[in-house]
Amino acid sequence: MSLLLQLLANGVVNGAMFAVLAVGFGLVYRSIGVFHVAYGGMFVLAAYLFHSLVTVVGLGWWTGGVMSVGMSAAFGWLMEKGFYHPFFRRGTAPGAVMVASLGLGIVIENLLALVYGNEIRAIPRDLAGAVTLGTVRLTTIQVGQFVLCGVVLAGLAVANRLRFFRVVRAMGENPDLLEVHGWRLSRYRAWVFALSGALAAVPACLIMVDVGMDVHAGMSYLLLAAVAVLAGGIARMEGWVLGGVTLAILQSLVVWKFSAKWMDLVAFVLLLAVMLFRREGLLGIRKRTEET
Amino acid sequence: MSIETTIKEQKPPPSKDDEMAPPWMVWGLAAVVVALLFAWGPGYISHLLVMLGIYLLLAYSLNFVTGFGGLIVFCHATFYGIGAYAYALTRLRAGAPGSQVTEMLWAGDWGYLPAVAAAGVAAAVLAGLIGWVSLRFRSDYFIFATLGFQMIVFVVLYNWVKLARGPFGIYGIPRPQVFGWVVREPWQYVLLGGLFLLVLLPWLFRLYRSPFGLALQAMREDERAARAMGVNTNALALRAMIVAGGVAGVAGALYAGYVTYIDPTSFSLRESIFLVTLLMLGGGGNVKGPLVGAVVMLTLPEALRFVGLPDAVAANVREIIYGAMLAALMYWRPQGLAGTTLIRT
Repeated sequence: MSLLLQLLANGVVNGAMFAVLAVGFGLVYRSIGVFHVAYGGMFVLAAYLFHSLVTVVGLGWWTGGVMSVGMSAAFGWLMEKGFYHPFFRRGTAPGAVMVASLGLGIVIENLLALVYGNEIRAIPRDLAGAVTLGTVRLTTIQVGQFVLCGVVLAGLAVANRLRFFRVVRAMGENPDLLEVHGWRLSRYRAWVFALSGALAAVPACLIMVDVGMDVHAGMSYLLLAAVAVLAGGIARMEGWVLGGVTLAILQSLVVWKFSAKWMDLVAFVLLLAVMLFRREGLLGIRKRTEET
Repeated sequence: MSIETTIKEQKPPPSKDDEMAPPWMVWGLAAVVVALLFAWGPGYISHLLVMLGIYLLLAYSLNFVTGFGGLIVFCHATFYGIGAYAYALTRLRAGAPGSQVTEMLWAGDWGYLPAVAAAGVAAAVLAGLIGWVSLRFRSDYFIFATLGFQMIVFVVLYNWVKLARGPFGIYGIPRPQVFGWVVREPWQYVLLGGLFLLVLLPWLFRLYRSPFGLALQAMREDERAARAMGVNTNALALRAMIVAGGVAGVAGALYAGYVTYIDPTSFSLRESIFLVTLLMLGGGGNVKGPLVGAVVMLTLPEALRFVGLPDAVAANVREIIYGAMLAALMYWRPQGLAGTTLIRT
């Protein structure tokens, strides 16, 4: 029983991080319709920027993290301006943009590998202290992960009512109407990509502090985010968060009942089951065929 | 959109020449092969040719679903892998003392041709099952369903140690043996691979031009219109997937018999992505595209090796070139270097 509680606690901590990751992916997918494969590359890039800022430049974790988030946002903005927007102007089909994005992701991943090598990098640190809640023990780093991601998610939940997010949601329904209302479509697109980059950087830095990662980790985190968004329901941000948390808790339970090696299996069986029996996702909004 | 522009945008139907590899391409390829033969000796070039043969089978089978049917499949490597595993398991002799076989659930000790057939059938059955589920979806969802199956099959192969030794891989897979002719030398494999291509490719090309292939093209261009014309698009796509899976399975058998050691990492998501990249690069929907894609993707690493990049760097540089080419092609030439299909979804 105490093991179950412990694993559930770990699942909730990871769930908060997956949720932030999923929101970053979902924002782009829902509002711009781009399947942002390079998001995985951006995630790893943010983690390695953080790593360099802390170990090479010698910044503290907080300043390093904030700078990494800022740089990742700038990178997302540049990616839209220099990469996705030209495709958009050309009217390239979403499938082709996805393939191009895959290409960009491969380029980022291998440039990082050229610079940093293929080994796992982690932030050198002392053994983390532990916090005990009843029978559950969490490291201080895990508590930090949960609190930070919780703050980000709470901020998003509040900000979701702002005009910016309303416009962004409208962009997902009909981008042409934005210009009719006098809102600059290209500006909103760039901001969405910047926000998505910033959101990717938060869990990236937190995971880098905790367990580290190698340069090829991008694809698995991208798949996590995409599964969370698709299973949770594309239509609403709450769905993406629910998808991320569900995925993390389910993974913990799999570790408990079976073994860690079946984790991918469970994630994708969950995705397929949701797709088959509830196409619009757990918290999705069912649409008529003509609307899609 | 006015009627005139609609008419202008319609392209004429592809002529017969479009569907054949043009002579300059065949001759150019032959010239490259001869030049390489002189430059680096027969063993090396034979290896390259065998791999090219395997990838041609994979590319042309994927072309049937992705190029003609317009369905981007991210699990082609599972069909390839299941073929390789089916070949390995049916060929290995059960009860051989002190060998890996005693740890495995089942080994068949079959002849070569039955084992190849088993590889094709196993992959076709898997393709049928995967297609049956994934073809309920289209566009992004279809891609994700196939990707999900790719991950699931990989995890099963990797972790079900009793079935196929998981991450340890299967070694000592018997070499091909056809009517007493044991294939051992690389050039003999070239011959064997050539035989496979001679049988399978003309069959695939006939399917491309048959009513089946034309209906697939109609489905790619406009699925709703194709249904209105009485084409059962789901059944059609399922059949196309089964054909593609079967051919990929045979390619897997060829691969397993050639390298004699297989493990699941050769059939991971990365391989599926590689195959889609290969097809997108060359272009789908005709006969030229997959050939161009396979030649470019397989010779580029060799070319880089002879530029003199150190091994550690070369792999990354190669991937960077693939990635950049892919992105650039999608911008300037979304149909690929020599393809006719435009991705629409």
